[in-house]
Amino acid sequence: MPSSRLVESVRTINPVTDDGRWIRSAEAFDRWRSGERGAIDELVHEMTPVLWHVVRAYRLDEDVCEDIVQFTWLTLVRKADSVENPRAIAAWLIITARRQAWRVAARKRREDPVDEELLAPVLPKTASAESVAVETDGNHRLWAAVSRLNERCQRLLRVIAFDDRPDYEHLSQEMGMPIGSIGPTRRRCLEKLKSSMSDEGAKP
Amino acid sequence: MSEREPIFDDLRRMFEALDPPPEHLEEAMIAAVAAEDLDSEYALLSLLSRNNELVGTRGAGPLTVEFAYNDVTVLLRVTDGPKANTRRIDGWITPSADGNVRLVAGENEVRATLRSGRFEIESIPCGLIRVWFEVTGRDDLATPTFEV
Repeated sequence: MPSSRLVESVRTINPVTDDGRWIRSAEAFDRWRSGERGAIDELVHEMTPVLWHVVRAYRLDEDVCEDIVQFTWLTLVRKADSVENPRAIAAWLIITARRQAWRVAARKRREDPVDEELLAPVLPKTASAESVAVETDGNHRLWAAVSRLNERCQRLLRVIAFDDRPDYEHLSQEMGMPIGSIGPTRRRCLEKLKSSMSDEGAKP
Repeated sequence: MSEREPIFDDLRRMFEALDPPPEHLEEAMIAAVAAEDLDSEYALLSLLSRNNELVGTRGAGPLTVEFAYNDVTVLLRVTDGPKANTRRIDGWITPSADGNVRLVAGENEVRATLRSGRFEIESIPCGLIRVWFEVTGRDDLATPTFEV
């Protein structure tokens, strides 16, 4: 049947890239809205890891991040009718999660102004396994290089790493800069990251 | 659309390897979505902080959990209950209000009265719970599901 082959080919386009995830999410959301109850589980499965990483970019505790991911899903279930473009459900989820993370982070900053001054270096959660030493070493070097950047660069790079097409309008509000400055800031952050990695590489 | 710089793929792999989501997260989210009652109208409180000092260890310090929605703040203090595997909850909501509190723990439901912004629940089984507030003159409020 040509139609099922078509669906199959859409699903197998690059299953590991974001595009695959975005397409699968939109399909699952469509099916859920047309009454297939279990389809929401597929959407949760696709997007929960992405939401986790986007929310962690705001340097909030794990408990708080888990709650923000839950907040995002409950908001979707309760306000599914207000999603204007079902094809862009992945973007809708990411924006909802980021707004909430930003609100909670702003409130915490207000209540705990000292906290930000004393931000301890965040240590990676996973200890390095010797069997994957080389890959892990590369990851740890990259982690360390990212940790040396300012908070704004850290957040911007993590958000973009998990969202190809981030919502620049909201980013500009959060960062208190005009939309036109985000592209150049992104470039500067990447340059700093690269030089931070090569400084580290040059050490004996 | 311009191509994304390849280093973002390295960043993505690095974050996936070194700061992955907790293992239970997907299942917990599927359960939260399945349990959601679409007919109820309420405002969802968000978790601001959770200060868990050695939860589950008897005699350990209390757990404090703080939630907020706009100008409303809810503070819960969770201590060991009268029996093993039970918890006592003391709660405060500001601005101060009167009404009812409903605490849902799996199949169990416990009710309490909210008086001048204060309520107490002497014993609930430990585990995942959700707290609902029916506050006079305001929209209902609910916490997300969380563990005590």
